[in-house]
Amino acid sequence: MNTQLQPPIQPGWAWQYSWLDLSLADIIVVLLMVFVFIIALVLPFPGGHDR
Amino acid sequence: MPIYVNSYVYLFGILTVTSFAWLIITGTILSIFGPDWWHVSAVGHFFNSLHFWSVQSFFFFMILHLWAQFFMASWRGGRHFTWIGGWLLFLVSIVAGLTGYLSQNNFDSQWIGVQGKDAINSTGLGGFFNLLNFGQMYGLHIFVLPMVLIVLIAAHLFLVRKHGVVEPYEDADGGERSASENH
Repeated sequence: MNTQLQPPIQPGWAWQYSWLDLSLADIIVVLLMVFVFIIALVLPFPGGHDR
Repeated sequence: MPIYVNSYVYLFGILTVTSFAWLIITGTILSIFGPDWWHVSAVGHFFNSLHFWSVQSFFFFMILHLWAQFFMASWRGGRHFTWIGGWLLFLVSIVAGLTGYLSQNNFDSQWIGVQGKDAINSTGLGGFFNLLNFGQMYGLHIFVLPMVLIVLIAAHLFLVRKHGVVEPYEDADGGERSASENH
């Protein structure tokens, strides 16, 4: 049995470049925001063409 | 409504407001029962999660709203106070988010409080804004900051209604085109 105290917070993987420090969750959210923004621009709005 | 608002891009603002409404609803329930409830009971976990995901969508759509308004240059035509008010809302929301993290009452909030106090102290604000003072952070989070946000949102929406949605840019030939015709 492992009786050693385990740290409660595991930081996980992060992309580091110079001063930039982006966690995987950060990267996923930013990509998702860019995706949703583009989709919102490209997708035709219902009823938008017949007026 | 003018025809150029026929685009999903114009929904990001109202989606942010909707998320805020969910934050108020779930936050009110959390504040009634308290930390031992939201950490221990199944229903408490559920409302804790609802509050968490509401804040995720709140900031998600707020940023998308910011991008959309930036690319439209929506401060044009005397709408500068709408734009400035939006930035004010963004900045106050960040403080509300920080005090929310500190109000969780778990290892995360302790860690953030201990690490964050040095940053606040380096600005000289530590004497007024103590990240390790749970009562102060919780009070700010559940009363003062939501009230400030409600007032700012009301003013923001009033200004949007007063000035209307910003007109699209003119084409090179001088004509206007709607956002839905751009593709």
